[in-house]
Amino acid sequence: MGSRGVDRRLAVALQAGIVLSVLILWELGGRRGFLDPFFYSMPSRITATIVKWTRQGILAVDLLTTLYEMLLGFAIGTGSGIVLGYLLAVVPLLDAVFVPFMVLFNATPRLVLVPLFILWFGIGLASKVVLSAVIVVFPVLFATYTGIKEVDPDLIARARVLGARPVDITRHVLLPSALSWVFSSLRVSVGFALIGAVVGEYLGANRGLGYRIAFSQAMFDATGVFAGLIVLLGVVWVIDSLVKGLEQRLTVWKPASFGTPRT
Amino acid sequence: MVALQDVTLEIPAERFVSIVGPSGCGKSTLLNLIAGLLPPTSGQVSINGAPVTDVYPDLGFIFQKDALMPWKTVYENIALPLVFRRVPRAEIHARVMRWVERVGLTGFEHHYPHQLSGGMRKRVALAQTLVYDPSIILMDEPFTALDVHTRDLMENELLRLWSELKTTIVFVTHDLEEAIALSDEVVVFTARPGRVKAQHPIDLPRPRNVAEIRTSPEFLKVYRKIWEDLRDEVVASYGQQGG
Repeated sequence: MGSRGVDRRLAVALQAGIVLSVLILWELGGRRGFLDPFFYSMPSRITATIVKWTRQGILAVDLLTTLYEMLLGFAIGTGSGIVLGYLLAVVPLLDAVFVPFMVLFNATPRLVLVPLFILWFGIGLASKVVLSAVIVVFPVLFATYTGIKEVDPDLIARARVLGARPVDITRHVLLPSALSWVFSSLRVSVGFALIGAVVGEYLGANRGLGYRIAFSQAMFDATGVFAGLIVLLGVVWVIDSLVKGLEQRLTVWKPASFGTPRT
Repeated sequence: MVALQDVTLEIPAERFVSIVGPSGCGKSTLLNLIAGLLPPTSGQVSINGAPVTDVYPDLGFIFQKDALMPWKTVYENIALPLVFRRVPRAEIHARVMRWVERVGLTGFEHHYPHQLSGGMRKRVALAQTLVYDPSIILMDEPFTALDVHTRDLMENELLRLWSELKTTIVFVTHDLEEAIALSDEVVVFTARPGRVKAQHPIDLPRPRNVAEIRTSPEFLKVYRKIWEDLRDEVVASYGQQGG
């Protein structure tokens, strides 16, 4: 990515400068009394809290819980999204009957379902995984659906001429096309999965990063809230970089994301 | 709208037959009918005496677009018809590599289509078709999108391969020079709805070089004769399109 003609090192240096300045101003503001530490905390206190949580082993438990819920929700959501999207795209009756419902569900904020999920699945793992999966399933479903609907008819005709049976067309033409759309929305879906896990925890749980933030808030502990947020930011950053690398590998055949010059 | 009407055409085996006609005369429709991709509204297509009801398995079809699978490498694309035929892996490898070499793509097996030039993508499409050894090959303006030099090169290569394989080729083009240079016979179609207007045997000696043959006096004579037939149809088609 990056805009044309901008030196990447300069951009990174400026970003680091901005972050550092904010931290310094925040810290000074707290110490000089411009920012009330009760509400706004201070970077030094936040760091101390993160260190404390790490020593106590709370952080590891919270982190692993959230990641586990996220991964499970992502896997279930993506898997069912691909299957449902495929079925809707290839069975005309299902398409006609169910796609309007899907559009409706997709437009509904899924977070309002959390109370129901907690009622049905308890405050443990299950309710977060379900929420995460329910948020992820729709973008994946629509990506699969579009990928199959938008496939170049010439490619299907070509495959037929080359001797493809219907099952071959699914395997070698429809699914690769659908998966290319799913892969290009991978970063969005992974982000959604994390949102599902964290929000689920925030609204009712006994562990996880979302729970840690909610708990700190209930204790009027701004430092705890910020510490939770900072850890969450770090998680997002790491996961997003990993997924970005994965996405580039999976879509290596696409012209736009390919680095080497044409031959 | 009717694309073709009352077309009766017999194509002998192992011949290189070109079909020329103004754009929109139903040339492509005819190929789709022969391939079995499109059922005829009336009449029938027979190959070796048997009517075509579904996609004919022993037939190759090269489209104007390459229609290569963008998510498959050169190797995987060429292997595709063999994979569809459930050919064993070891045999697939041997046959694909032989064709990679024969069409001059050695070293590009693991490239994706977008990394190749137009001419190379055509070679892949050609290898993908020849690898399963069809007895009939249909070609729908396959070289139209290429630059002149690549086009001459590909045409000569096609002639060379064809002389070795002796398959039947039905070649659709709007370029009369290309049709004459390549074929044993040129079929002229009328403007829409397409009908056979005339069939001209081409008795130019083989092997031919498509670039050189165009300047020979015999070529020009044949060209003038067929152009007489084609010109009226091009004019008629121009009128249909409203200018």
